[in-house]
Amino acid sequence: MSNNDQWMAADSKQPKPRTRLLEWFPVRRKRGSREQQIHEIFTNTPLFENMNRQDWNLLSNLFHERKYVKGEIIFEKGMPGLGMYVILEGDVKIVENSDEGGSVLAQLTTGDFFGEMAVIQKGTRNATAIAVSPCELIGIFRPQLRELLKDRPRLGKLIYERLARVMADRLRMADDLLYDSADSVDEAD
Amino acid sequence: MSAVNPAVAATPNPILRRVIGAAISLLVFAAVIWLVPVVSDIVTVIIVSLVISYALRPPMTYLERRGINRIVTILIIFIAFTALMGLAFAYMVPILIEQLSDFGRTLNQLDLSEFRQQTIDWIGQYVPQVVPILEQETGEATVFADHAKDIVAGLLEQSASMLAKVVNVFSLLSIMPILIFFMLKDGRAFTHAVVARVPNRFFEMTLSLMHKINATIGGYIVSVLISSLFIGVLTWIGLYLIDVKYSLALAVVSALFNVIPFFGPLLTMIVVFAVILLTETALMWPLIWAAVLMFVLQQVESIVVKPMLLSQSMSIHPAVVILAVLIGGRLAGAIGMFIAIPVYSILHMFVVDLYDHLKNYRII
Repeated sequence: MSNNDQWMAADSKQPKPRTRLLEWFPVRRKRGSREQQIHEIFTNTPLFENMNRQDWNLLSNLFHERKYVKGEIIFEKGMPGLGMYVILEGDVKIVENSDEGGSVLAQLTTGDFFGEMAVIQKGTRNATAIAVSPCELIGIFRPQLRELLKDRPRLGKLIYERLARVMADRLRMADDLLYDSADSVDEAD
Repeated sequence: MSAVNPAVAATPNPILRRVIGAAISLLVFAAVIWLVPVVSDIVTVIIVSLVISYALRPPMTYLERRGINRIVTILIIFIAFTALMGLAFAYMVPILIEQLSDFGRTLNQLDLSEFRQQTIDWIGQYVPQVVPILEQETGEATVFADHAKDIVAGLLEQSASMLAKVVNVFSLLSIMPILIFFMLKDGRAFTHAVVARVPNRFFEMTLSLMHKINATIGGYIVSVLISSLFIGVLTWIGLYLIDVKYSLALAVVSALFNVIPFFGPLLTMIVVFAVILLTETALMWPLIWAAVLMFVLQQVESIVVKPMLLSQSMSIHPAVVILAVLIGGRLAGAIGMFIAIPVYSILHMFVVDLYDHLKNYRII
């Protein structure tokens, strides 16, 4: 049973005195379930899996929650990149540019993340991210991760190591695609 | 999803950009200097609290990195800061008041016309031909000196009225520790809350801008404070050792002048020389030692202290320095002249960063 199922099962039980008390404070209850949801999504990503409670609390202080409507541009090609986003809810497409005819580079959904190169290197975005449906994202940004690296070197190093691993995997995949397409060009010749 | 774009770093006309940047910053600076006392004392209290909180941030980060809880860290820093300030005030303020009032008495007793006549007579013994010229020229100089005295008196009067406002602000001092406490404790949470209310289109730009401004201004305030403290303490020790009168008052003046690039050290030297000329009987050695001391201190500060501070030092054109000091003096008296360069520097950083961000994010 996943954490989310446990949470829902606990919710459907007969109200105990504590839960009756929580009904008086709906904001707190909502926040608790929200934190649980964010925690669950993050622990399923390779960047944030297997983190202890203390590290998670420190890291979650850096999160910026953002909401986007369908069709809204999250970031645009050519603009300075500041950080990465993790999708909490909704779908996002990565396109070459924001024009109608631009080719779609990736379709992303809940639990996926994008824009991670901006966390490592200062530069401009080389693709555009658009919300395909109403979206809720968590943004994590370079300046704050740099501060984390200075303030909590162990945790900062862990995040950057994992980022490097993700990037290396993606680079390997891109290399494989390149070799495949080179092979098919050779065969066609 | 990012790549380095060299086009972003390139600027079409750097000289024009600097001139426009300096002009806008000077305008904003004049508006702020003029507005701050007019708007409210509370604004001044907030600004002073902000400056102190910036100065206390480095030790706080240092302790936090060693795993100490934030509230405990702030309490330790508060106790240490209050103890240091208490000691400094208890020891320094009585000496400073005594030195300033003594210097005031010396100035009142000083008869400039007698001093002028004595000097002319002394020169006349060796070069009698220049006496008529000197009498005419120094007569004009006396008129000029009177004008200068009026200007200085005017500046001091304006400063006094500004000081009266500052003293008024001291009645609000009780809320300052509370403000500083929350600025240190919830500074980041406050930034977070502000950014959360920014529309998506401007979100990344606002976050980047706030971070950049926070880092530059924080770095600037800390480096100015440390460098002025260094100059002040060493000037005090140096002048005390070479037995110059009013060494503490002169050290405070040199620390204050230190914030003015190019002219600060020169002004300090003029004041120190003037005091030596007015108070000492044997002039030669105190003057030589004071000149050596000022020179060595400036060299040590620019070669050792500033690079160690990794300060966000910015190059301000000498003409802009003069303009900023003049505007500060005109609008807020001598205090305005002292705070002119730090206030201008902070506003200039803000204007330049804001412009760069608006341009990079294609908002303008």
